[in-house]
Amino acid sequence: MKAIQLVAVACLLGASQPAFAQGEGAAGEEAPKGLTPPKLVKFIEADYPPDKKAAGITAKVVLSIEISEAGSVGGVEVVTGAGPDFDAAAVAAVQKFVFEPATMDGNPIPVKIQYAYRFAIKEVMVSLGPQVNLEGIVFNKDKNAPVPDVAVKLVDLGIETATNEDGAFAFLDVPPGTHLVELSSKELVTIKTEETITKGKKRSVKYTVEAKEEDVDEDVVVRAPRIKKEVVETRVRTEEAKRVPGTQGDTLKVVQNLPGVGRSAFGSGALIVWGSGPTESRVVVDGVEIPALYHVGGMRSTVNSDLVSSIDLSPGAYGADYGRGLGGLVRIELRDPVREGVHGYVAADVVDVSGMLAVAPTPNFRIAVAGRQGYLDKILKTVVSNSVGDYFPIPRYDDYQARASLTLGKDQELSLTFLSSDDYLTRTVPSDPTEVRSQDTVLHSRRVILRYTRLFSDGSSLAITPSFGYDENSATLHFGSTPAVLDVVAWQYAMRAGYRRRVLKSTTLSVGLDFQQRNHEALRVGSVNLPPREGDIYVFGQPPTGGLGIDHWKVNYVEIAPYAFSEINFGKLTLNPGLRLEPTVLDGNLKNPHSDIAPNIGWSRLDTVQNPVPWKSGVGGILRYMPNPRLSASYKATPRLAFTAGAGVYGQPPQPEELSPVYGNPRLGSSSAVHFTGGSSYRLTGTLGLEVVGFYKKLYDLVARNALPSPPVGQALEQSGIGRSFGGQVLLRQELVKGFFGWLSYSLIRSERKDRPDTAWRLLDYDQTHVLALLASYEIRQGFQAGFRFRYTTGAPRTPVLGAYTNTAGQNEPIFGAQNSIRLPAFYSLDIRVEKMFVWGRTKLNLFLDVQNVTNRKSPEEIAYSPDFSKRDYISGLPTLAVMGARVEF
Amino acid sequence: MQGRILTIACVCLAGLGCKPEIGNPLSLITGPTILAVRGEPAEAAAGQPVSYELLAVDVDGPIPADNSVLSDPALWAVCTVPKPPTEINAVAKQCLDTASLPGAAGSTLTTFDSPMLDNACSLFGPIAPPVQGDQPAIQPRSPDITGGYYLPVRVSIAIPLDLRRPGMATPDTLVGFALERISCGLANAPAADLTQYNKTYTRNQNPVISQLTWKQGNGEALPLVPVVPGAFPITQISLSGGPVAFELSWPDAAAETYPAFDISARELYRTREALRVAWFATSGKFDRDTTGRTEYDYNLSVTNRLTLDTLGPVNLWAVLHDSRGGVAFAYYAIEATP
Repeated sequence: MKAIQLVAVACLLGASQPAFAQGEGAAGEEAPKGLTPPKLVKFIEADYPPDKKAAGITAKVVLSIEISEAGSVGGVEVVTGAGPDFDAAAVAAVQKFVFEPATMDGNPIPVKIQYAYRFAIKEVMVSLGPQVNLEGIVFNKDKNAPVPDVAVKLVDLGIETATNEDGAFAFLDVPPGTHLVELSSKELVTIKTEETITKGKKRSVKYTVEAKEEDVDEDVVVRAPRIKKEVVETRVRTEEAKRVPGTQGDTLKVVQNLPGVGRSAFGSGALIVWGSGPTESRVVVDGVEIPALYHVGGMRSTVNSDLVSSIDLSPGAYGADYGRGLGGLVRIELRDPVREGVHGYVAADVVDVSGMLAVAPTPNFRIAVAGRQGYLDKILKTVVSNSVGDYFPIPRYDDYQARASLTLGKDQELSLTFLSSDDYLTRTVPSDPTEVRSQDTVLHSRRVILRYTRLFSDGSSLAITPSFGYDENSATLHFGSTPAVLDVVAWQYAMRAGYRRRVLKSTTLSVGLDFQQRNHEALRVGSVNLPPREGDIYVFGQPPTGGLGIDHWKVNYVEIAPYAFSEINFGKLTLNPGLRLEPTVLDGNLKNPHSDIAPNIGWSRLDTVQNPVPWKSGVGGILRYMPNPRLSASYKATPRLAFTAGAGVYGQPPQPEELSPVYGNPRLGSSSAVHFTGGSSYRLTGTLGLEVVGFYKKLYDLVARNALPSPPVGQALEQSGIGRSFGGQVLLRQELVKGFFGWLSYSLIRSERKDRPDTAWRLLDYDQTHVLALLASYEIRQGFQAGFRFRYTTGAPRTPVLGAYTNTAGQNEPIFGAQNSIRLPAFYSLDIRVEKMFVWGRTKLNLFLDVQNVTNRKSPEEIAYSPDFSKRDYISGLPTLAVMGARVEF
Repeated sequence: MQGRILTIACVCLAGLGCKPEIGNPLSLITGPTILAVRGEPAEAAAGQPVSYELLAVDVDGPIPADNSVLSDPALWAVCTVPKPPTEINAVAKQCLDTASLPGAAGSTLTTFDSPMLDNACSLFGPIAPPVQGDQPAIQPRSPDITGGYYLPVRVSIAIPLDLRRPGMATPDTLVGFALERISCGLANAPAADLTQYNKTYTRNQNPVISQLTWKQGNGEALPLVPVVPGAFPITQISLSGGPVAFELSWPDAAAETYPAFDISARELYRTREALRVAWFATSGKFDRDTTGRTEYDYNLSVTNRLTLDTLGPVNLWAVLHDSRGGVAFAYYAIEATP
């Protein structure tokens, strides 16, 4: 293998008088084929040291900047300093830069660039911001077509950029004078020419170049790019996510507006992705699974937005490094704390108060703490009535995070993260004393995550992430004197390790181990029907019936999942094959219900996600237990048009609540699913894209209730269900450019379940045929932004009530029709957001007004019936909710 | 465990729920309605005779009756199908199937005699049915909070076309169930508790209504005389006198004490029945459809208010339920005067 060298992606990206400072060893190197350098889209002017400015001292600070694949600035290091005050000012400014990320073959990649920040006093353009004064387009003479990825270099200034997919390039603030321009590409003959820049004027040029006769075969690798294993993945920059109306600036809530994501009912905050139930999708933070993305009620996410670097939603057919879920995957990457100074924010609105403080005692050691405390319950009780909380579930919540990062050496990082989330919900529905209904729910979640990452000089990388956590869910309900209790406490120990390197010129390989142990202890008291399961037939508010059981059981999961995946490039075609094995050792303390007569017997077994092949013996039997295959492929037909396809086998072990010998079945094994997806994307412009994706999922061995009138011992549940969901989605998305972004997403989905072989297909309880989201945000003028969001979703299926009968207690009970054969009326809502930013030096004040459901549409959330079930009406969700808040950043 | 905690919390929210006011309150009788079905005795052992009585009413009074348009006898059926875990109602869906379980008339229009099933405790109770061949053992039933197991007995009455209303079990039928408490004893408890339980447990008896009084404003509380066969006393109450305050009382013995097994603490304890009154009237509006006393509340009466809104006759029923399935009911006739 040829020497792998560090390439500093050369860009002139804007400053008062920015200039590129070439790093040592980088001279003469070519950018890898297909590399598009990052583009600066948000420039922050540095604070000029007052004494230096007064003295007329100018300076140039050369910085090394890490830019993530999301375009955010990571580490910033001073390469060539100009004194502590200049250096500090330059670093502080650059840390707030926002880039359009560099891409490799159209895929965003992290890069490190060198950047010269010039402090010049006489530059008038400082006050105007960076200006393009040299731009052009490069054409292939033979094809008469624009040529992307051509390196355009101003040789005398040492600054460089590259053409985009339209063959266009631009330089900001090129100093007046004559400059030597060099155009080079592996596919083109290198040309040199001169251009003269006149002060105050922009020069536009067009270059026509010829193709080389022979390609230059040169292997240059910066760092292994993030392998795009997911054929369908939506990534949203945090700068955009914060501005989405209806999210109150909560970055993670933007997931609710992405294509393929169904709307969860008010008060749930559940994640419904591509027709999967809420328990089938996974959320990971820095690779570690957390129990929930949102607090109960869905008002806020459980992780502070300012600690989030990126959010990736993979609704299906994702890579081999993740599993344990039949549905989608949400990956959250945390941000590295600032590398210098003290930064933070304090924010408050009618929902909660939050804050974050980040300190860098040394450039190599950074810490950040953040917290949030909700108080919507108190606010509403003050302004509405004291009993509002009795009728509408308004949980209290809080979450806290702490993160420390230590740079151990060049390209070596160690971080320690603590995540904490709590939810509390207490309410009592007033009634006759013998029929009082009360609820007391407490949720706690903790995670401690240690992460070590290292980038080796050969471009390979290593990440090791040990973690442990604690989850507690305690729900106690009373229907009169009849209790319903479910307490689950879980300890989680996990270790994720992954190593990635380029093994061949066109092949990158990743191998890893995803280990997770979870020890659960559960107590459940009450009817087998409460809490209800997906697929249960009941009406909203129906009290539980039947016997009062009890079970106190323990279940341990030891899941060891080795995985490997690769990226293989065949020119325009890229393949991502992967394999994942998910053996799980399950053990419990009760095989049968507790008995005072017979001894309690525990159980233990090895379970694995089986490939759903039609044969159970012979070669088929072997295939069934082989590692689960995953494969994705992308074909870049043109620079603008790409086709993708993917498939994979996924699995999910039974949930601890399902392994109760009284309420569940300790004999349950893993369910499995096969995902197929295919689609295409087309770049209408550099920032405007259209994606069309279709998918099909088939689910096997799903857990369902036992339909026998008298189930065998320990078999209240059985693994007799199958499922399928299919549909498509369209996303037309304008990424952030000139202060504007927005998207239109539409999903057409059908999700069905069949609980037993002898039953008919039925709709999933969460099925939503049409899901539409249209949103846009625009910075009208400096610091003033406005946006809107419109959402429409088909109502969820419900089972109609055809009549009623009276039981001996004088209560009416419903007689149901065909399961899930009617739907709630459609939901739609218009939300708006306006905000104004005031800037005083390093301090920013952001005032915003986020109004949900502007039209006060009474969207039905549930069906309610009259006492005799002869009439029905709908329980509406939130009326117009105006959330006003302020945020101070420093 | 992604989503598990959240899902559990959310479904709990849904389960607790709260209903907006839709349609008429349960206490307002606007058409044929089954108010209660009572078994006598309230708790029976296998083979013990049980007499069931239906309380079905219309705006004109009890039905079916010899002098009403509903003179067909009620049809009764003992259901032998336990409720599967897939169903949330108190009785199995199959118990409603008149094709497989057609039902039969009782000894009178509204009564039915049937002994408790011999295998009731294995069908609906804690005794596991015998294992068939190599089939796995059947999971015994769990008791309710009072330690009870129940046999569903269905009763249905046909309703003429002109009296049918939405919400009926089938377009032409009113259906109700008696859940007759089965005396099965205590299961899955330490031997000492079993012994103590068997020594101290007394079978449930139907509660008894002592009297119902009424008053308006600060007036004196006066007893209402119930309607019984052969006597139809009508109490005149002034509409202008404001809401009518009722107080229904029961004897101390109505709230029986009994031993129960705490499944959480796994110990025997002594408790007391909770009592609940369901109120019904053919006109006016009660403050509450039901009022009750918990097992910890030793008061022997409950109160409720009826706001009359029209002049003329008003039929009123009070149905007293104890928490072990016992039922008592009484019928009163009122005339709202100016």
